[in-house]
Amino acid sequence: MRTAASVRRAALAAALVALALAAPGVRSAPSVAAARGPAALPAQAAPAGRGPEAFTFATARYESGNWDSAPLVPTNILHSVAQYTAIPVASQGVLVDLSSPEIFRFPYLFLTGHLPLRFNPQENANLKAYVERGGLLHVEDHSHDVDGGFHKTAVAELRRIFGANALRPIPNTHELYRSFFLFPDGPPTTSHELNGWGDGLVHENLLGVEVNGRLGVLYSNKDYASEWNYHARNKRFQSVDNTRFGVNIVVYALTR
Amino acid sequence: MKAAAALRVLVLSLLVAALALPVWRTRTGPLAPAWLGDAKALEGRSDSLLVGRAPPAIARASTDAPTARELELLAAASRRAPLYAALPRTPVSVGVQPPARALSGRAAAVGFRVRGAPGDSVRVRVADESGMLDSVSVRLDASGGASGAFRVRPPRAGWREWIVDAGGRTVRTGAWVDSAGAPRVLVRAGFPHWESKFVVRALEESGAIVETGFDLGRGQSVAAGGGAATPDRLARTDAAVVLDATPVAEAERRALAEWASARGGGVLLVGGQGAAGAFGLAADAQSRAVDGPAVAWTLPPELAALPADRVRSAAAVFGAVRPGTAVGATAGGGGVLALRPLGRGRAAALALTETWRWRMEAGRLAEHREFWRALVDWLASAPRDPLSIQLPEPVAPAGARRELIVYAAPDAAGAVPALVVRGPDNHVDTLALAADPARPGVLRAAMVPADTGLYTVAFAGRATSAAFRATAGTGAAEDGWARLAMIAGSSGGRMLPADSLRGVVQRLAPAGASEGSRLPLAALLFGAVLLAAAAEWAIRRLRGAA
Repeated sequence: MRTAASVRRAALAAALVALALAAPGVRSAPSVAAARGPAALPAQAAPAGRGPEAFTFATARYESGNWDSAPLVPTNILHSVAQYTAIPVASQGVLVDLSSPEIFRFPYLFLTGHLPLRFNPQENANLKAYVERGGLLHVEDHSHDVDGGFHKTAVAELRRIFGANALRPIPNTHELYRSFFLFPDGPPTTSHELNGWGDGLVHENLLGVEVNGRLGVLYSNKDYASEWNYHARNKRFQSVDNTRFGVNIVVYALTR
Repeated sequence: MKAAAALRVLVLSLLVAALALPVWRTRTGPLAPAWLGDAKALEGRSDSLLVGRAPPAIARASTDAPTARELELLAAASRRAPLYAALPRTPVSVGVQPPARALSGRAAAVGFRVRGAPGDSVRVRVADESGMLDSVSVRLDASGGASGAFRVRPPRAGWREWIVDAGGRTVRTGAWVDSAGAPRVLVRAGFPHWESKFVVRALEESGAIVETGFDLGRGQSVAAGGGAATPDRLARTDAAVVLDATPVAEAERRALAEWASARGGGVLLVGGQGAAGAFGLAADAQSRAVDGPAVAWTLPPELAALPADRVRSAAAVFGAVRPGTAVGATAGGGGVLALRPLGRGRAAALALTETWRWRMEAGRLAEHREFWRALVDWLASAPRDPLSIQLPEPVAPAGARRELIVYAAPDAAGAVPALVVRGPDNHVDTLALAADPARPGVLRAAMVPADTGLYTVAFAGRATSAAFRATAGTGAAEDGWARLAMIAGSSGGRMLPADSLRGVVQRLAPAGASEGSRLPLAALLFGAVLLAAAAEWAIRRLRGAA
């Protein structure tokens, strides 16, 4: 009996260890103390097939907070881009570590979460280089709360990286609102804003950092992450497809 | 009285000797060679070299290029004594090639050719009125030669000069810059992708005016628009870039080819564009990945290469190119960039379909931007006028004969107007052109500019299309070493390696010669004259004579 109990205890311990290792949010901290510049990129595998690479929705995985709070957004946006446009899309999104040079292979990068955000030095350096080189970082405040931890810390981090005055309201006449579908009133409202959840405000503008007249960072606290985080099959139950603005963001990223 | 008479004779003799001594010393004087370190030393000793004392030889020890003033002094001094001069440590000569055609704001090439000691490394610099523009270090090959070119972008129309410096030699050249606006580029991309985004971005950041044509929607109303390259659209375009996988209909292909060959436009076909064959370019493309370091660039100087970073791009590499096509880059035995004239325009094919990786992955923003801008500049800069004027020496001294060469396209060679040359004083001369019997389509004229200043050249009844400047002799010792060698040779001396100069000249100097005593003999004789005169006066006073 004692032997059987010991075996059971050992099996339980092993299972717990395996679960802990497999848990996506539990990772050892990267061994990055201070970064002087963006990480160097190793040689990639040879591109396969002819023609331009299909659009890939890349989600940033960062060290702090919860990067995986909206796992259905990539599929939903890819579904809409394929549905409405002639742009070829990859069958699924990819996750890339923000501290990894892999981010430079994906000029559109989606970043969201609920929890307070703090970029480590390598993430900081990578993001600055990413935006300067022409990538578009799309940040969504999943907690849709101006007093929330994500909003306060994410805005502070973006200002720390790009300058105190770099993050500014995007005018509602911006070409982002006419790059594919027309949104004459600016960013579409979300059900979370209209239902009074979160901060109970309808945010008139999105925020952005511009580089050479083009958006390098798009920051939204309208919570499109919640709005688009449903299974694509359920889109048919909506009278108006609320992911259309996501198509505009992708088309803007690809054309500007 | 006898003593006084004897003293008078002595005084007169000394006086004659003092006056005759310099003449005697000039003819026979055993003086040492005059050593000259540099121009300042020459200035300091010019009085003794040019008048009075002629040394048996003049030795110039400096290995710096002689200035114009120094050459003048040496030429005068060497009429009285042979000149021995040290050769420069790296005897470099440099030739410069002006841009064949320069347009404001567009890339043009200033070529150079350096000669010197084989294996030497020489830094070549180019500057203009605004200061240093670029520099490059070249290693001279086994024959002692190296050549290259600088890519320049003249900002304004009109006369423009560049100064090329190599190993202390300075050569000046210039060109007439025609007015041209920012290139207008049509980018055809089919659906948008990262390459289309970053090509448009690079061109816009470089100042080009870009019109994009995306086929975005599936029957949806789209704001970005799309559409093919129609003749109307091409009429307001200088260069068209057709990116990989863009659907190009037969009518659009014909419109592009017609526009390029008849209107002087430039077409770039990227990736596996099936239309490449129609433009006389390579058509048998093979899809494969190309690594940045594997690309060997052999570009015309107006174009810019992508750096050899560890970047891997998809590509549609082509095989053998058709006659008349230049290969600007290869990788693994296949062609990566092909360039050719197309009627009055130009056409190119680029195999790389993901140049954006140089920008995003390698962080080469400036290089990616310059690659695309230079390529578009080249495409948009085909000479649209069937007549062009070239001047082999745009900057040369007044009084030197100038040749003016006119290249005429076959359809314009029959009626080439005369050349009108307007001088610096607004005096106008008309030059008749003579056909070169050996080269069809080439006509020549020549003139000798009398005054210094800018001369503009135009076909009768047309705007200025070339210019040259007549300078006042050798200003900046451009051919200083050649002139120094000529002066040394004509004086009976020669150029010598710096190490052997002193030994050779010491052998030439008479034995025991020195640079002269501190108290010259003429001064001693003058003192003796004074003493003798004083003694004669004293004797006469003591004897009561008047």
